[in-house]
Amino acid sequence: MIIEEIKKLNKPVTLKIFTSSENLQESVKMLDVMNIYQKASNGLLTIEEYRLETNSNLVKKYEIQQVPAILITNAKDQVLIRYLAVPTAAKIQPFVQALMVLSGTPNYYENFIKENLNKINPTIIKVLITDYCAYCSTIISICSQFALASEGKLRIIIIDIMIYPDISERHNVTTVPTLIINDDKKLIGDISAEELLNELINMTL
Amino acid sequence: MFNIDMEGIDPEKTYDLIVLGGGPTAIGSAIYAARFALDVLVIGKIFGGLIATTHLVENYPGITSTSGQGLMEMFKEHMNSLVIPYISDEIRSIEQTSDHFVLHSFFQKFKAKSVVIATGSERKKLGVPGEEEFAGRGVSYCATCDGPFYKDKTVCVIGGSDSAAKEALFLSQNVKKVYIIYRGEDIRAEPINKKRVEENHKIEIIYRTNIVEIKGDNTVKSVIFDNGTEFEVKGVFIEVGSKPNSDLAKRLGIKTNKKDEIIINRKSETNIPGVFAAGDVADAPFKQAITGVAEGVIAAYSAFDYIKEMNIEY
Repeated sequence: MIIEEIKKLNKPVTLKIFTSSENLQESVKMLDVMNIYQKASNGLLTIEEYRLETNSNLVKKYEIQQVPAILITNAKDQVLIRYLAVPTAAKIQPFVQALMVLSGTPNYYENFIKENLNKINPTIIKVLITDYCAYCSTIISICSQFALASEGKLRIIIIDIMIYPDISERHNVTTVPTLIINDDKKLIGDISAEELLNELINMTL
Repeated sequence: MFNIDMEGIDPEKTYDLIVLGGGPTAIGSAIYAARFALDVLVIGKIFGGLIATTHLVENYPGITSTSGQGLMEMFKEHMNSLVIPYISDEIRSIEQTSDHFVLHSFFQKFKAKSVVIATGSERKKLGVPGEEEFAGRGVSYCATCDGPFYKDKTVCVIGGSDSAAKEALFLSQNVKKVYIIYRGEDIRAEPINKKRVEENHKIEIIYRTNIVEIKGDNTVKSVIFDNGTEFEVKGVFIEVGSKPNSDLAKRLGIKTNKKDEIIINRKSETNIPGVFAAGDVADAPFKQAITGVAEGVIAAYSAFDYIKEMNIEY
């Protein structure tokens, strides 16, 4: 599935991955998976690996708090999408889709997000997911496309709560998908793109 | 999530058929439409439909056993093999012109010569105090999604249907104890699932009981029975049936029955020529993935026939 999907990539993309010897097992797992992506990408996907222990400046610059983490950045080097999750299973399609949109493929929601950018405050959306969640793939896809169209105003963090149970416990989350907007407002379940956009606009009113 | 390359998605053109929905009925309909060489687009709020939240599907002929999510992955693969475009969006209104329909979403509008409504159904709420307050904090409508949060804890499933039995069976794999709380005298599960429930030492059924309140602090702590008993549970899984997503159809003037299900005939036709319906949103008495797919396939064929008979160029 990874191999089939990443072959659709048609322009070069670079990802930054932060790893740590303190979380070695998850770091190795993430690197292994990302190597599969990279090898199947016909040289279009470049992965830059940074060890937490030896890159303190970058850790500070990119506000790295948890590792392993994959950062998807825009041309201005702003982190739009942060994966605290390994892009396997149902996460493969939205992950590849984000890479393709980043490299110029049209984004279904782009015009609408851009038209409404002045109505949206800078926002961080945590997207709490698991591998076995039926609707998470669609929600990741919508949030990612919103972030990629938002010129840095919307940033999303995709969190696999099986890897980071402390995050779900901290927010009293017992349902996936759950969106947490600016560590405050929660949206749960199969919310639509329209509902999310309305929520983001209403937060500024 | 399939519009990776946006190929086939063109708001300017008039599609032969737009299928509304993201479940097996919609995808089955689109697969047949594509094979009839119809120019088809699928628009669904969430891919997968209700069945994607089912942990075990054992009655889809040809597939001995899989999860609902697994079944829908196969549907997705089949759909992608035919390069059928799919977008995640929700159509809010449909307008009829002399020779086509205009479908409006919040983000876009699309044109189609025919429409299949396969918008499915959504789970009913229990409608008791605490349900909304603790949604996502102990109240759940999907055991496969949220079951793993309750490892070694005591939970309850509200309802007596086959779905409720299957939810309890799935939960029993991880939790300490599952109580099925049902207002009736005997659960209505398929015999095979009823037997599994009865043989599962982690599952206990409490009959002739309604829940009148869900209580807790940060998360759920207990439920209150209609006899006044406070019963300690950490999770409440609500499985009290579903209601058809037919509001869009009703706004277009499509006839529905008393249950708000779209009335269709053997050709999956509604009262409006060119608009077809299938699956959980329609008025079949027995709703299964396989029956929904069958209705969706018939709807695709009827759309094919409709376009041909109306002598619309395609």
